[in-house]
Amino acid sequence: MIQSIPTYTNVNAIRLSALSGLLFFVCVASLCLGAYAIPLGNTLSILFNAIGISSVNFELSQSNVLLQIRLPRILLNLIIGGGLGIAGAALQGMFRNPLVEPGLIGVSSGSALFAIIFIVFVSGGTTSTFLTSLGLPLFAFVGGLLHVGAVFKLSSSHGNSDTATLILAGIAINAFAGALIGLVLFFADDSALRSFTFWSLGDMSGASWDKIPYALFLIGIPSIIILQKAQELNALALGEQEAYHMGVPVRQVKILLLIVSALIVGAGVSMVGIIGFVGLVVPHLVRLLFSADHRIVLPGSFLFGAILVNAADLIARLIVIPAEMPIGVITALCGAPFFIWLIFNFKKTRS
Amino acid sequence: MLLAKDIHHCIGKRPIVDQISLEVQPGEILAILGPNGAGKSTLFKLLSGEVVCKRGMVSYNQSEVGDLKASELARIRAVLPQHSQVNFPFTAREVVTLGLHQVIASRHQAILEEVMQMTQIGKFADKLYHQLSGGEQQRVQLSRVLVQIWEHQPYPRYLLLDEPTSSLDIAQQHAVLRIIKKLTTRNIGVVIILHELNLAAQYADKIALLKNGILKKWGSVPEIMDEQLLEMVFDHPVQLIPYAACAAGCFVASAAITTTAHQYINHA
Amino acid sequence: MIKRFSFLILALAIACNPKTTEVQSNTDNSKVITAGGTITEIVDALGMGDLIIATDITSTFPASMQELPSIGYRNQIKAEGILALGPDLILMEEGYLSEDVVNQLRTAQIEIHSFAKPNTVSGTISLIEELGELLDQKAEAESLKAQLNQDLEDLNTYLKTITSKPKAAFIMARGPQTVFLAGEDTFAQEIFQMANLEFPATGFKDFVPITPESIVKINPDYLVFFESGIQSLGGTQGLSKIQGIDQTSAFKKNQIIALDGNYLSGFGPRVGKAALELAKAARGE
Repeated sequence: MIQSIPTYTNVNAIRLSALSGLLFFVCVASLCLGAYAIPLGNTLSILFNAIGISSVNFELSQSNVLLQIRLPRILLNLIIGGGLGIAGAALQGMFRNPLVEPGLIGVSSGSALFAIIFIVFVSGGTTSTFLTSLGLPLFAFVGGLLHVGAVFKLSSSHGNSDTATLILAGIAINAFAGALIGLVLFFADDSALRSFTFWSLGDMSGASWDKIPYALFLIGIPSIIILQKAQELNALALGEQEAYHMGVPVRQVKILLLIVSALIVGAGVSMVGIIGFVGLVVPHLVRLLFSADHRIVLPGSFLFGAILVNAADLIARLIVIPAEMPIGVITALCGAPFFIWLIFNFKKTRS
Repeated sequence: MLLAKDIHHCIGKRPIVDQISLEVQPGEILAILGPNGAGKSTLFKLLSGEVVCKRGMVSYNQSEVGDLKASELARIRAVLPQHSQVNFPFTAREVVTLGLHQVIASRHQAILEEVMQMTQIGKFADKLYHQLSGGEQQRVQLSRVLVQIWEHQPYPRYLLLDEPTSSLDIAQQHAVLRIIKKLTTRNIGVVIILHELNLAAQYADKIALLKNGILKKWGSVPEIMDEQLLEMVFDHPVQLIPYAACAAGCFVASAAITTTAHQYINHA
Repeated sequence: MIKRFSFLILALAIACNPKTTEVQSNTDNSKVITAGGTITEIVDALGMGDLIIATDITSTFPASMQELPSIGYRNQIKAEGILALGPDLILMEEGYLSEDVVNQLRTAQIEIHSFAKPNTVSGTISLIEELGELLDQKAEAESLKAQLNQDLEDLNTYLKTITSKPKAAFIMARGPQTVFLAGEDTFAQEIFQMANLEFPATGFKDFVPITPESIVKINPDYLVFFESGIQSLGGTQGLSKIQGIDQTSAFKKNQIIALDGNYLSGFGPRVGKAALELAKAARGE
C-alpha cells in the first residue's frame, strides 16, 4: 500500500516556512513603523547599507534610530517572544496540562521578585556592567526555578498534576511573590528598580544591542535544548509511567525541561518584565492550527511567540504615540478572552 | 524468559507481595488473577520495572531489570496500564506513533500499517483520540504498546497488560484478547491481569492465583480449574460447568449465595 | 546539532555591534529638549528659551513651556518619542530618564547632559553656572546669580524683623488615597529652614504615607501643600476628610499654605522669592 502522500516531516517543513514568512513580514512592519517615522524606502536603504550594499537614500539620524534602537528591539522581541512560546509549550507538556503557562504557575513572578532583590541588594542600582548584566538574569532564573519547583511540589502526586490544585498552588505562589515585589518596590527608592508597571506589565523599550548577546545565550540556546526533546514530550503526554515504559528517562527529562524553561522565563523577565499569556496562547494556537505533535508544536511555538510579541509590541508603540502602552496590556487583552474560551473547551473535551 | 525470583515488596511492615517466583516464556500468556487487594497491581509494577523490589530479582532475558536503562528495557517489554489519560488533542494515529519512540524512523511506516491492520483501527486513525469511544480508545492504546515491540528481534519481547478489558463490552473484550493471542507467534510473552475468570481460562496458557500477596498457585489452565482452589482464593463458591466448545473445556460460574449451608468463612 | 546552532548563535552575538555613524553637533540653532522643571526654567531665564522644542510635564514655568510638545513624565518617556522630535541636545535632571533610555539616546548620537537636581541654594547656584557655561551665556548666568543673591538678602532682612518660628509640615498629595508627609532630607526641610520654620522631627527620611497618629502628634501650626496637591484633595474643605489633619491646630486655625510645586520645590532661580513668600505666609502675611 504505497501512497504518495507528503510525509510528516515535509508537511511540518511547509508549516514552519509559512510561520517564518509571517514572522519576516511582522518584523519588516515593525522596522518601518513607530513613533519616529521612517519611510519604507529609507528603511530599505539603511538596511542594505548596513549589510554592505551601498545606498544613500536616508539620513544619518534615521539610520541611528533604525539600527540602534529599533532593530535590537525587534530582535529582542523575537528572542523573548519565541522563548516564552517554547517554554510555555514545554511546561504544558511537562505538567501534562494545556492550561499551564509561566505566569500562572509562578515562574514569572518568582523571576521578577528575584530580579528586584538582585537590583536592590546586590547590584546597588546599576544594571549595565558585565557582571550585573549576567548576574541579574541568572538570579532571576533561580527565583523562577524555586517558585515553579514549589508549585510542582504542591500540586503533583504520583506524577500527575491535578489542574485545580495546580492553579491554586500557582495563585498562592503568585500572591506571595507579588506581595514581596510590592514590598521591596515600596521601600527601595531606586530609579534603576524601574516601576511596578515595568515588572508587572512588561516593557520592551529598554532594548539595545548589548542586551542581545545575553538574550541569545540565555534564551536562544535553552530553546534549542527544548527543541531536541520533542519526542520525549510526546511520550510524556500520555503520562509519566507510560513514558517510562516507552523508554523515556522521565525524571531526567523533567528536571532538564524545568531548568531550561525557568532559565528562559527568568532571563526574559529580568530584561523586560512579565509578559503574560504568550506562553499559554501560543502553544494552543499551534496545536489548533497544526497538530499536538511536539515536533511541530515546539518550533511552531517559538516562531508564533516571536510573531505575537512583535505584533503586540508594534501595537503598543503605535497606539498612544509618543508614549507607549505597556506590552502586557496588549497581550492580556488578546490573551484573556482566549484563556476563557480555552476553559470552556477544556471542560467539553474532558467530559 | 521473564523471570521473577522470590520478589518481595512491603509497605511499612506489611508485605504486599510476599516472596513470589514465577516465569513467563515467550509465546506464552500468563494471566494473573486474584481478589481485590491481592497485590496484583504491585506484582505488575514489580514485573514491569516501575517499582524496584526490596528483596528478590526480576530479570528479562537474563538481564536484571535494575541493570537495564529505561530505553533498553523499552525495547524488550511494553506495558499497557489500566487507564491512560491523553490531555492533548492527538489523533489516534499520533497516539500509536508515540510507541515508536525507540524504533528507527525508517521502519515506522511498515510497523504502523501492520499493527493498525491487526487491531482494525485504520477507519478512525485520523480522528482525534478523545472523540473515540472507550473500546476504540483501548484498541488505539493496544496498538501503541504493540508497535513498541512488534519488530522481530533476536531476543524475545514481553507485553504486560493491566486489565485491558475492564471497560469493554463482550465483543470488544474478545476482540482484544484474540489480538493478544496472535502475539504468541511473534516470540512475545504476555502477562495480563484479568478480572474475569472465564476470559483468563479461555485465552491464557498459564494462570497465577494471588491472594493477600501470596502466590497460591501457578500452573497451566487445567491445573487451576479446580473448584476448591478457586473458592479458597476468591472467598466465594464457584462451579465449573463443562463446556467442550471453549478452550478451557469448562465455564466458570459463580452464583449468589442463597442458603446458610453455603456460608464460607474468610481464610486468612 | 546543538553545537552547530550554538556556533551560529555565537556568531550572531559577535556580529551584534553595527558601527554607529557620527552625527555633527552644533550648539548654534540647536534644538533642545529639557527634562526637569528647574532646568527648563534656568535655560529660559538665561535667554535660551527659544531653543527649547519640547519639554516634560513638570516644566511649568514659564507657562508657555506647557504649550510645547510634551515628552511625558519620568519612566514613561521613551527614546523613540524623543528622537521623533529631532533634538540636537538634551538637558536632563539626573535620574529623570531611565538608564536604558539614556543609553539608547547616546547610541543614537544625541548629545545629552545630565545635571544634579538642586536641593539647596548652593545647588541652584552651581546649576546656573553649569548651564551658563554650557550654553555660552556666562553673562546672563552672572546676572541670574546676582538676582538670586538679592532675593536671599531680602529674605534675610525680613527674617530679622520677626521672632516667631512656627512649626510647619509639608504634605504631598495626589488624591485622597495618596497622601505623604515629608521627612528629613527633602526639599521641604531645606526650604523650611530657609524660611526659619520649625520642621518636625519625624524620624524618617523622604516621603512616607501619612498616618493620623503621626500628624496629630506633630500638630503643626501650618500645613504646606503644593497647589496641585491641595486641589487633588478637594481644596481646604476636602482636607477635613483626611483623618488626622482635621485635628491639627493648623487645620483648626485654617493656617493652610499652598504654593506652586515648581516654585516651592524646584530650587530654581526663584527659590529666594519662594522662601520669602513662605516665610511671610507662615507669619500670617
